[in-house]
Amino acid sequence: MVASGASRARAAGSARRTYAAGTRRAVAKRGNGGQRSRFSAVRILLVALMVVAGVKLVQVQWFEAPTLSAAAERQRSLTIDIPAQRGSIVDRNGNKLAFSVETRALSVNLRVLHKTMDDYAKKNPTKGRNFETEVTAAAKYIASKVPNLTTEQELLTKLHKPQSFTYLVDNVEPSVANDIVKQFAWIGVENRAMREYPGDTLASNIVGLANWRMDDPDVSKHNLHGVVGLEQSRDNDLAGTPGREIVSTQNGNDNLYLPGSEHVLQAAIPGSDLELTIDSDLQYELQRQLSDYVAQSHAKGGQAVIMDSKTGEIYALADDKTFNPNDQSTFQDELLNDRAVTTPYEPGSVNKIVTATAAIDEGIATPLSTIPVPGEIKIADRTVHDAWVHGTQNFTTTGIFAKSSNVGTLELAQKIGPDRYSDLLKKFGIGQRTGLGLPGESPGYVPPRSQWSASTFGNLPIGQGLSMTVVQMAGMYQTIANNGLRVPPRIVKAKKNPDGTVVPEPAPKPVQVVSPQTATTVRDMLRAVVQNAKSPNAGTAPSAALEGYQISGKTGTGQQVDPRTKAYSQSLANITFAGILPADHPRFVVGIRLDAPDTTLPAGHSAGPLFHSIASYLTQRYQIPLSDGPAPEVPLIIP
Amino acid sequence: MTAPTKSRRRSGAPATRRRAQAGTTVEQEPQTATGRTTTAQPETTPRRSSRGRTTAAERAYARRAQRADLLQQREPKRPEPKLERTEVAVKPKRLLLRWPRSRASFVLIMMGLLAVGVASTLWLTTQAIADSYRLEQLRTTNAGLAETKDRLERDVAKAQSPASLAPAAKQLGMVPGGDPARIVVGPDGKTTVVGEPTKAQPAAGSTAETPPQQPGAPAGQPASGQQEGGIEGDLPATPAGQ
Repeated sequence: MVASGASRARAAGSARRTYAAGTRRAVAKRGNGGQRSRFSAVRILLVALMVVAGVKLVQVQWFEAPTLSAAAERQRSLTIDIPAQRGSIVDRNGNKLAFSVETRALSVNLRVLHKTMDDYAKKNPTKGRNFETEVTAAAKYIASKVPNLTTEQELLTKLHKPQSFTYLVDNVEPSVANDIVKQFAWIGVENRAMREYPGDTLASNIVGLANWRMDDPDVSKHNLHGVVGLEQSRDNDLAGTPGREIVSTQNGNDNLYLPGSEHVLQAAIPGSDLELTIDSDLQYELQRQLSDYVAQSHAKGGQAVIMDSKTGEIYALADDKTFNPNDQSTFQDELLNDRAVTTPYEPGSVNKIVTATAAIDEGIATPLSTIPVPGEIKIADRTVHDAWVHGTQNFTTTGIFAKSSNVGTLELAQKIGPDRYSDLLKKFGIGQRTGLGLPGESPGYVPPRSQWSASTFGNLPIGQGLSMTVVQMAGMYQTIANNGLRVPPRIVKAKKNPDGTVVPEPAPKPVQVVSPQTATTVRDMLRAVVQNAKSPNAGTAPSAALEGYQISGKTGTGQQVDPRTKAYSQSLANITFAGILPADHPRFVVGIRLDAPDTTLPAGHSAGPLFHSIASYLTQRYQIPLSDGPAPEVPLIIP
Repeated sequence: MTAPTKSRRRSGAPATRRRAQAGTTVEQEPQTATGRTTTAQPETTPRRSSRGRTTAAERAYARRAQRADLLQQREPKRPEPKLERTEVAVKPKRLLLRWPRSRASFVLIMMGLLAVGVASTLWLTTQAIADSYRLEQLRTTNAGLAETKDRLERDVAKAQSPASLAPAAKQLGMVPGGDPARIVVGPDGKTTVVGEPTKAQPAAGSTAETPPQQPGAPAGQPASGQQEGGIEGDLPATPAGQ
């Protein structure tokens, strides 16, 4: 009744508005009375329809809207993870040591494949296609496409595994993966990235290793992450942040984006590049020479470092053997360990530079002042001998260090006193991490001053009873080369952000250890170590000398603790050498340590020849100008 | 009969007219309420003018006349048209007069515009879709090219690395140079040779450690060095500087 009343009112209204309608109505009324009820019936119907439509509209637009739009989204939209490119690691000349490439991993859902193929075979028994034929064909095809990565047999084994899911092959180039998937739609593809190390073992002890990690349950967080070396310690800088975007795609074709539908949820931020202070050519040469020399001297191992004498930048840091990041079989703990920074050792006479510096600095001695040096000296309860038997001789201070007299050094050390000595040792950075930027760095060991026994001070000056890494050892000589200013070493030069800005690594805080005069005097004094003169005046390492250049350095033979007897071994020694090139205008500092070489061999007796060939290469590679003249010959022992 | 209905739908009717209409509605209200039997004739009577047109139609004619007047007023402002041009000048005037008058043409124009709009929208959509296919194709091509670039870069990086260069050099028969001799030119122009130029020795298994320890050795074995070929070219050149 309400509806009909309304319609009547509307009819009246229309009559008011439209002359024509009014006429029509009047005519209709006059002519046919049944028309009216038909009109109202249609109107009721229409209104009812409107109401129904309205209700549905409210239901769809209001109550079901989120569910429906989500369902629609699911149908057409595709969330894409935008991978963040991991930053490269380059050497000081921009040569790439590590970089990333995009790859694909192929996988199969075996359970689904079994089901679909069985169903298919049941429905089309005549076609002769079943699980076996499909899998055999796929294995053959994939093996022919990626012959270097897998074999047909291997794939077949994987495809017949009693599991519901298996990975088939990793590190496939994207285009090859697309080809394979086009042939066999049931093969799944995962985006991956692979880390390339073009130099194999080159600088691998520094650069380290990164691989694809799938620890995170969220697949979008799977990424390359570092395992060892700088790849691990600087992972945050290198990794970057993967992004995500949503695109609307054609149904069934995820590659066809609807125009303008890309909606970036989170932009991918690529990782930063790291620029190292390493020179890859020099690094290669050092690694090659060191491993050759280690083999030649029958040593257990060896480490070496080449450092810029002014900036403390490490140009090369080598271990005689290291892993190859491209070869999984070399991922052994022993090879992954970067002993040049992780493993300290007792340096032996190389440490005498501390005594030499203190003696000159305190004015206790001058390079040519002489002291009588007996063949042995008693410190507390222990007697220390020289490496060769001699009676009391008049050594010049230069002679004490050039001939590496333990007795003479201890005599000078006694005059210096333990407090001053301990203080200077600390200033040289011994017993503290250098902070060069490599993970797992050892601080070495210096007994705390409070725990020194009476005999401690008979050990430390000759480089026993304390330990340091090859980098710390080179750091002491860098101090002397750089006029007494110790610049802590570093290996990462700068970080290059994805926007192109270069952020230099914070410069290490230098420490003025001694005065420039003292440093120069010590440096000049140590030139005599490579002095090749007649019998009493020959230094310990004439083989380290390099014609045309003045070399300043120090040899060392540090007794090792025998693991069986827990006492100093007579046969196992660290053969060390640290040198400055050239001594008059220092450019480089080289530190070498050989682990227990056969000391009866000429190569195992001294690391001098190795220093010589490294220095020779350095002068050529960096075109170092010749020294002004040969170093003056200095008397070492006054008869 | 058509004129009144049309005029009623006109949206831009002046306010006065609307008011007038409202007045009539009020007047009519009781009529509709009292009985449905009343004919249409009395309703229309107040709106009829003497000439048998509705007031709205009257007004429309009036407006047209006004427009014609306006056009005529404007005419003298224009440069005096020449005699032969008068006929031509009449045409735009007529067009202007006709232009908004015809409802049919207006509707046609609107329909035309609508059709053009729909067609252009369709065309643009088609283009966009076509572009998206093209985009997909370009994306694929781009991915392929990026991959090729990556592969080439990888190859270059690998070939450039000292780890590949050194074995390649060895394969060519090259050996490390050992210690070079250097020619120093003094301030007086005289040259001195620092170091003894020696022939590079092929490292027999081990390294270049041997030459520095025995610098005198090369004199004994020049033949083996010459067999190497290619590298001994520098050697005669160095002593020439002496």
